[in-house]
Amino acid sequence: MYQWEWSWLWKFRDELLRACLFTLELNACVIIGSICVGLGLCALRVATPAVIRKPVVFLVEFLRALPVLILMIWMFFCLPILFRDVLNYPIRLTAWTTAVIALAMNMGAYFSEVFRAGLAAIPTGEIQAGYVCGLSRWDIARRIAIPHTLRSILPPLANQCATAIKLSSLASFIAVPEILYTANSLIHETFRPLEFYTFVALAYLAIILPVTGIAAWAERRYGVQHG
Amino acid sequence: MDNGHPSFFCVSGLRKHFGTRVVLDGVSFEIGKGRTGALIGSSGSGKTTLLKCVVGLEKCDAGHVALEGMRFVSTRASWFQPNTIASRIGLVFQDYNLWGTMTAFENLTLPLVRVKGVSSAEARDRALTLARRFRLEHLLDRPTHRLSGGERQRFALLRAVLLEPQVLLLDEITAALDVEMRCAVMEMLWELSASGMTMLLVSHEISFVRHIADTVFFLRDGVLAEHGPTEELLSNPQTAELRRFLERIQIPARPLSANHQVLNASASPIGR
Repeated sequence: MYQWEWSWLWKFRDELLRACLFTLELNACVIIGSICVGLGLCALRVATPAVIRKPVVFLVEFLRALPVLILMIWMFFCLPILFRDVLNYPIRLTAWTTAVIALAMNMGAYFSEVFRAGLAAIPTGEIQAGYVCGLSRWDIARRIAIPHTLRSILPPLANQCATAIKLSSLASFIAVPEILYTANSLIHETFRPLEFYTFVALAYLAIILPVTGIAAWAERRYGVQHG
Repeated sequence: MDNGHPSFFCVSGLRKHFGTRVVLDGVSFEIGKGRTGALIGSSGSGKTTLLKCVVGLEKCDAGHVALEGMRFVSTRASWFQPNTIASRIGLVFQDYNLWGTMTAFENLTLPLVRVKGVSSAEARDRALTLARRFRLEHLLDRPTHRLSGGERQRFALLRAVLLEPQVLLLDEITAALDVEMRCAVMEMLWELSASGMTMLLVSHEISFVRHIADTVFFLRDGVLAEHGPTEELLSNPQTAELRRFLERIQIPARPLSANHQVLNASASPIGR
């Protein structure tokens, strides 16, 4: 029978804590990046002529269809070589940068769809009523359009954030020292896989549950209502 | 148009096209101060477009709107310019368009504060007074999605009235309501009309129009085909189109056509 020895975790608490903080930092960057990418793609998609819109639509579909792990690995190994050989311009992407960019591009494509749905959820009639009452453009945006948009995008946005956090464990493939990668290296040192993998699972739960909690709350508070 | 200021609210030469279709083809009319006009016509005759052009929601190709002789060139109106006619001409929509993320109270006070520059205490005071007058004060703190259709429509009316417009445009505001709620909204209109509000209402309820309107305008394919004092026009229509229109909107006396009965008869044995 396997002898569980939780003291190993305590022994490597500094490494594990650092890995958790690193994961949080990585995710903060990914989510901020995804929101920027998503807003950009969404703006390009709804507010430009077809010449720009069509390639953007294609890009969004492409990014959603491509597994993020493949994108990450390709960007890490192939992109620098392509740049060196074809463009004769050497670039150096660290594993961390690659992971953030790949995840932000993938999640950004999903975010852009969420934002687009949010824009579609603005009731035209209420905007017209604002105009007829003489409200300024700014007041119409701030008091009518934005609350409607937030109400409809908050729940799916929080869900997408939870997905982004889960996907960030893939960054361990290109040696980004987040929780999973750190646990793997510690296992190589200590030969205690069960304790460390259990820790990894619990750590992810501890990070994600508050986010899904926010999603559920947002759904209750702002979810589909009549009117 | 028979007394007071004949050209208090005046629409002249309004033209509007969507693509190749001419929706309004030079519509002109006027309503005297404190009078009520009713705009009737089949769907697609341009009634709603006319109202939208008047308040600037639609740009029109030609024509203008004047209030007490002061012109508003509605051809220039655009979504992104401040609405010059706002709060001088109010519009109430068929589907209410209360702001769904706010309470009824906020719906009433927001335009007062942001457009009229009234202090928020004063705005609350005015909203409360008016809501009391129409016995709606117990619903003020509800989010608008918890209100029934009739309650929403009455608040939409209050929102427009609170801005003290000189003319109130009403776009089939009772059409989406059940009979009971319809009566409540009509009662409100009666009260507004009695208090001297100038109104232009689009309605299919001829019996209501007959009671409340001083003048009736019959719009057909974007042209003002016929207009005149209500009773005269409705009981003695001059054009064949108006006569046909009035016949069409009567509730049919025979509830089931012969075809229906045949269908029902053949369906019932299978049902059993």
